[in-house]
Amino acid sequence: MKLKSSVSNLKEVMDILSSITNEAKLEFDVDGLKVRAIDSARIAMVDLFVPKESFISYETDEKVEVSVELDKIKSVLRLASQSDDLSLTISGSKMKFSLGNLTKTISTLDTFVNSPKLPTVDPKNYVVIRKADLDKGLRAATDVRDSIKFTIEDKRFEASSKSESEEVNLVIDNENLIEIRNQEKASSSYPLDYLSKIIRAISFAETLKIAFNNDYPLVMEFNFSNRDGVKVARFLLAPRIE
Amino acid sequence: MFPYCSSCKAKKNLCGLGYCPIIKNLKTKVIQIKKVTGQEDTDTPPGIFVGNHGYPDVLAGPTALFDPEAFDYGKERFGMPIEDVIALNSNIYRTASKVNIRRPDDKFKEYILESASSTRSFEISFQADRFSMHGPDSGDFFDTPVGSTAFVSNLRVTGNPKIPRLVDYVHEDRYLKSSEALFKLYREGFQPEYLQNILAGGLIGLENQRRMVPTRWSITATDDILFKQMKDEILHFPWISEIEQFNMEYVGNSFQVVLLPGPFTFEMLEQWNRGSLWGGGSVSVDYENTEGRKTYASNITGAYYAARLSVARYLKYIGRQASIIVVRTIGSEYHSPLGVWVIRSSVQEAMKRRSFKYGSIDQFIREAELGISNAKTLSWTLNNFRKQTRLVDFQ
Repeated sequence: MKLKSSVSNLKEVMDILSSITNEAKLEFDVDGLKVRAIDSARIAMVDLFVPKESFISYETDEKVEVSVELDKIKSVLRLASQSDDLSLTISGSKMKFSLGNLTKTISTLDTFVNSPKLPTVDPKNYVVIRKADLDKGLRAATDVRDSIKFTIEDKRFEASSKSESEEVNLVIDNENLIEIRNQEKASSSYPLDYLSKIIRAISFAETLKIAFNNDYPLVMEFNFSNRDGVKVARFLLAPRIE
Repeated sequence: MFPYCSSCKAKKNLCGLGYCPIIKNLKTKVIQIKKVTGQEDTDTPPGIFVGNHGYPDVLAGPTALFDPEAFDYGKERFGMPIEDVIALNSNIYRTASKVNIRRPDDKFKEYILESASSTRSFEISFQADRFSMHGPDSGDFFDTPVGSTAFVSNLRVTGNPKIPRLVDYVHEDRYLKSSEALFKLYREGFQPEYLQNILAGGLIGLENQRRMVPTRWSITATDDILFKQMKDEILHFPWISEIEQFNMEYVGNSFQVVLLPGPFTFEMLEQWNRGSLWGGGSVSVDYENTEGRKTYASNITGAYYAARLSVARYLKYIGRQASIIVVRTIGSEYHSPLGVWVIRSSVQEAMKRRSFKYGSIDQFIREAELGISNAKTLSWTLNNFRKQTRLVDFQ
């Protein structure tokens, strides 16, 4: 298996995955890279696919699976600047990275990390909002409580957090929403630290699709990376029942 | 006694007096009033004490015995009545020489190595120029109740220390990190109470990073380092399957250790009741999630790290992970501090006992008896456990 990629492309994949885990199984399939990872508490999951078109080159005859410590790959990426290109060759349990005249080889994990099963969720309501808006809401809620409540009602989206002494409310009305589907009033709370971390890890997407029902897992979809090929990642988060 | 004594524990000067009246009173009551002056030949138990006052120029040296005849090195303190432990502790005092933590001279280094790592008592000799009942680091009394100090010169080792071969080996290895050296020794059966002396003496680690560590910090640092060496492995273990509770009581300290099926997290709740060393106080809480903590557990302090290590040791032994809650209440029997080994040993002993098992979280909430009456509503872990769903619940 051999590929060539921009550093920023791989970096974003690693940032997104490492926001929930430090170990993941990377599946280099004939049509592209697939990763599904879950955090150790089984509260959050990332499911992403990078089609082979988004790499500068991508060659494999068969599916190659490697389990890795993400920090090791990130330490290689730190050696490069964002605009550099990087080649990766996988043979057996070795991943060899080439950055210009520098090569670094890392070992994969001996034991396979299991790919988690995707929960069967089908949220009926969603909004598409600007990432910057959500980010603002999350930051405002940080000191208030360790969870945040999302509500879709009357064609608007609300993110709120309340403690005994403080309360924050972010309201985004119909005009400022890029898209909305509001079949019924939906309201559900989520652990804030998980949300803050994934939002910080997403660098390219400007908008996010957030879907949920009452007390139901959150499904957040976003495009990532700015090269060719449609790359959609999904982030799932289990609710907190308050 | 002030209402905030239990959150200060002689360390934060919350009363503004500049010294701790409880510790002062305690010392005059329980410590032998005996002074050592002039030329002295005695035994080191063995052990060392490194002060933190004036860091990095501190007062450090081997500990010494008032009465070597009355001391038995191999005797296990855990399980003794509190009076016996106090008697044993009050036989020990510090010898202090001024030393820079990075640049002790070669002779002194050798004495520190011998007194920190020997597995039997041996004779030392020195000139005691001055003797102080209180010593310069009075807050340390709580972690290691060795308070009185002889300011010495002409320190010499005159007896025969016995240094374990493996300790000598990691001491000689200039390329082994101190955290790895400590864990290597721990795996071979050396106890944290012994290892904290090795760390305090600056005897291990990468050559250019070696330095002495004040005893007060080395105790918690040892507990923290050993825990972190085990944590990664624990995070890979499967969850326990049932809610379990272990109980233990020792010298007025009562512990309940609760294990919940889930990822490794740790929380400790502590309450000092009326009549205990620090008097009645509110409940102190510290906790950490799976990622671990980045700041010092300043509400519970050293006891947090000691309890966490003992629970981790158990999880590693059974090959499971769990979300942990430790509840500690301190009653009037604990009128004098014995050191954090009380917590480390008690929790370790608790995990050897038979546990209570609960079929459901509702049963636990209804039936579990915890020393702190509102622990179930205060606990971050329990709140999380009851409210936070998991993706597997939606499959």
